[in-house]
Amino acid sequence: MCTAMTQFAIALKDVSLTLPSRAGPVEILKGVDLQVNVGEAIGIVGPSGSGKTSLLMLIAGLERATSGQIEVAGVSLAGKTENALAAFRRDNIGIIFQSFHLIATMTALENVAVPLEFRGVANAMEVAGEKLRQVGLAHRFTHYPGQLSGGEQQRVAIARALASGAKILLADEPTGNLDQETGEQIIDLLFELRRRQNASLLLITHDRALAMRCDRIAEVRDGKIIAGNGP
Amino acid sequence: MNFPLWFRFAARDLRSGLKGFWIFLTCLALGTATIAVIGSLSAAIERGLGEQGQVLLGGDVEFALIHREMTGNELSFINGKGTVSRVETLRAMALAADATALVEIKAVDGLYPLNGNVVLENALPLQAATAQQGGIYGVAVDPLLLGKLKTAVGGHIKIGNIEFEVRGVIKTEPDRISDGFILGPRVLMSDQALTATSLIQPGSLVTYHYRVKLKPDQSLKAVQDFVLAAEAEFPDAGWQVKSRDKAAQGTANFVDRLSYFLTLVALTSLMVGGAGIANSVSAFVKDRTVSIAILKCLGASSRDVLGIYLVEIMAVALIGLLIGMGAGAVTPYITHALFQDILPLPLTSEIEVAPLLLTAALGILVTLAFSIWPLSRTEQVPASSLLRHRIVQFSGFPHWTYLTSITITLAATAALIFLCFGSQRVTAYYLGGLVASFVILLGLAHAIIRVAGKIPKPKSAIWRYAISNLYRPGSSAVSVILALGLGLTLFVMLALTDQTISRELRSGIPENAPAFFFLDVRDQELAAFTQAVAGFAGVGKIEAAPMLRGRITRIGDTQVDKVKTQGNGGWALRGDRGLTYSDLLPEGSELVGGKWWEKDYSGPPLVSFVDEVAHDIGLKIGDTVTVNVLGRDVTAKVASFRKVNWRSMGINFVMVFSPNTLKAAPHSYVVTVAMEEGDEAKLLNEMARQFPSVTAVRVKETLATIGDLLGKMLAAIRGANVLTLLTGVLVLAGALAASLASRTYDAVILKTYGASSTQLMAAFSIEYAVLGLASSIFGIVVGSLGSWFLAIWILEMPWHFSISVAISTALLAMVLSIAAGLAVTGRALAAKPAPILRNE
Repeated sequence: MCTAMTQFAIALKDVSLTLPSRAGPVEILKGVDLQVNVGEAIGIVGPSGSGKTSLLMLIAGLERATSGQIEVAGVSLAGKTENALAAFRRDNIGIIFQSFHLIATMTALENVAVPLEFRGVANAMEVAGEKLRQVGLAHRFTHYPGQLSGGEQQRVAIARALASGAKILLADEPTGNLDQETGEQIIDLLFELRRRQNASLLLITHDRALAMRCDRIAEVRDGKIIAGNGP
Repeated sequence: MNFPLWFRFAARDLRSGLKGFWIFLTCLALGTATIAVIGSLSAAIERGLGEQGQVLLGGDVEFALIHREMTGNELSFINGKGTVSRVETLRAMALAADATALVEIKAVDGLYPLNGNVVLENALPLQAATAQQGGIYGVAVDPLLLGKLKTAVGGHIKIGNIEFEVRGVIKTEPDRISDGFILGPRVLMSDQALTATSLIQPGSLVTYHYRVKLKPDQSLKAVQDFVLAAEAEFPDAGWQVKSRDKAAQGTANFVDRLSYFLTLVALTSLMVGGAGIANSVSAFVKDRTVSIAILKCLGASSRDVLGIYLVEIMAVALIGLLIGMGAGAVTPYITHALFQDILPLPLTSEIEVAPLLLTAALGILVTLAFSIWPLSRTEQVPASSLLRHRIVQFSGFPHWTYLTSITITLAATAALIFLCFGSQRVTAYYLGGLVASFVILLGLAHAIIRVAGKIPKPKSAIWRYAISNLYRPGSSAVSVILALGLGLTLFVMLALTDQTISRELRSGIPENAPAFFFLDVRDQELAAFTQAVAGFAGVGKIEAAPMLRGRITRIGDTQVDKVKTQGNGGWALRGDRGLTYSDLLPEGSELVGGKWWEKDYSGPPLVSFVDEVAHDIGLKIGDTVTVNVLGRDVTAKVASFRKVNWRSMGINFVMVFSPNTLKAAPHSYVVTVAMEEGDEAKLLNEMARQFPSVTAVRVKETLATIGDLLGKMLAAIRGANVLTLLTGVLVLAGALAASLASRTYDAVILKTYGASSTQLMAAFSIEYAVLGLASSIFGIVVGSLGSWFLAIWILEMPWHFSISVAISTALLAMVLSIAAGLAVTGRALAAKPAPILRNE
């Protein structure tokens, strides 16, 4: 089975996720199958609470599946320790959050350099600088997140996601906190850089128009992918 | 481990400043500064005592002999080694027109002082001040004496058989410290004048000090060689020899001991501050939850995250340590500049490295011990919290590796204290008490939280809100009870110990205790003396006993300096001790071992020892003890052990000999006089005039002098304890400040639904009063236990509980707790609802 899955950037087979709650266990995802090709962009749409973000978290190794198999960049996530999963993310995945999640006490340049530094890249700052230039923030190297606009912060987040050469990008409502014009600029930038890096993209959004820019759309409802789960 | 990365990330995080670290820094800086200041001051004094040994001793070596002068051979031996100066010291009575005072005479020769200078307030040279002019000798006196005798410079006083003119007031007496504790004000006179007083008679309690100033630039080794040579040449001389490196050993020991107790109090303050450190680090980790999750999302391992924040915490700790060590480093300079002229102790002004290193080590260890647990919470922050937007709740015990690290750190702290301070028994009690207090306080805090959660909800909304604040998540109950409880425990312990000592000194004089000890009553005047005393109104029991002084030089065949001692009994082997002889078992003694000799016993010399001392120096019945009396070794067999009630203040001696041993030696008598009513001052005045060579020691005055000295020590310890309480209040404020945001939110919501500020203030006050009350109950109970332990086992005096101390402590705790609570949460009460609700 593993061998069959490795041709995909992301491969989920019969994945379920149940989380505990005060009212009892809640089934978030129920037997999800999903494959994303290398270099493919997939838009995940669905109503709030349908399980989109949980899907992203399983793929990033931020949450452990209750059952099923998950393979990302050819690596099975089953049985990995927290630290091994952290190293896996460092080497393979770039995440872009709706709320940017930049470290407030670090400059734009330092924020972008973080994953490179954890990888032990010698010229982390140079590489980070280059990525910031690519997102059009050459003049903002020494600015702190608090000194940047929302759009600029998201550009920094995109630069950070791409900095370590990640081949898989996971974006959770990347324009959710931005106005429409800025949001469009950010999405243009994201797709352009993804194309240049030939990275796969899993884009979670409420905006069906935005999802349409992806190669494929998968729709999640009540913890299941009801359409577009295969290439 | 990626240290460079940890340092880099920590440095970046610290660029945002020290916001949130102020309580951490203040607790650490206060605790370490106190330890560093005490350590540096004590080291500077000890260094000063060491460096100025020659001046303090008045030469390179001093040979002190009691009762007798040096023989010709002894004198010629030391004369050949350098310049010799002789000083005689003794107690006597000084009389003015209508007043009498016990004085400490120092009679000096023309060479005194061999080192340093005596400075009189009127700048008169000592020789001129003490010389005979117009048939009358002069004296220079301690300023206290002028007040006691109601006289002034130019006035006349009588000592012994002659009259003196007071020609100067002593400003500096260079060798004062090496004389140790003295009972009366100093009087400096010439040795010819002392002879003229006729105070020195066979058996008088006079000490002859022969100071030798060796040829210039003699090394300490040469000095010590000289001492060894003298001891080898005259093994039975019975002298007490001090070299310049041990000039003020007693003072050095006193400073050392006081500094040790003060350091323990300061260490408690640092430990109380540890609770503040833990709170700050806990708040810091909570504040960094998002950053931690981001780092983990970006590939940081839990170890890296812990490493980064540990480095950051230690970097902040370094600032606190530098402040503390800086305070310690400048202390010798500041004290020297401001107080050298008024302090009776020599001080050096240089940086004392050892206490600063100790401070740094204790500061680092305490920071680590209190930071590791909250830092281990970084492991509990999941990367997924970024996407789930859920509140991260920290709970449970950390992994065993963290618990082991905390244990090792605390053990290292304890080992360091053991290593650096001599009194291991007291240190062990202290550490045991501290650990027990921590554990009990933590248990108490958790019990309060649990009980608050279980009790039926009160009907009053104010009470309900106050009680629920005690057990809700993020409650500051643990920190407040821990910090305030420890501070108050120490406070109560010291306050009750203070009361116990004061009460013991005030009322510890038994009813039938003597009012006076008269010393140096000569054999031929004993009958006349007792008859004269008995004639005074109010005089009760009069007792007399022969008295000599001598030094134990050997136990069996073992030299006294090689005898192994245990407990506190070693004091009997150091220096001169009072000796007596008696046919009968002295009153107030109980025979607990061996046999008392028969009346008119005439066999080999026998001696009876106090059982406690005998036990501590390892004596058994039948052992022999050699005592040097008047330059002659007397060896006696131990015949019996006695239990002595020292608190009766009757005449009692550690060693009582069979009369045939000492009767022939020249000696005087000590006479005790009890007074039920009557004028003590009048008796003193009259007796001093009738018997000028007899010295009177008034029990009340002596106890007052000792009480004054103890009072000063306790004041210093109380001062250090104020810092502990201050740290406790800081920790309290810090704990409350940490919950300010949630309190503000609660207050806003409650106000929105109609609660008034007064109602909220009442609720907060109830909450803090409960915490203050719990802390004070603990403080009173454990502090009382601690002071009881100190009184019974260390000070060996009856313990007294003071209800006023207990009540004032409880009130203090409540006031501190409520005041700090309201001061911190005042902002929450004043918050306007609209802006906060709009942001939500």
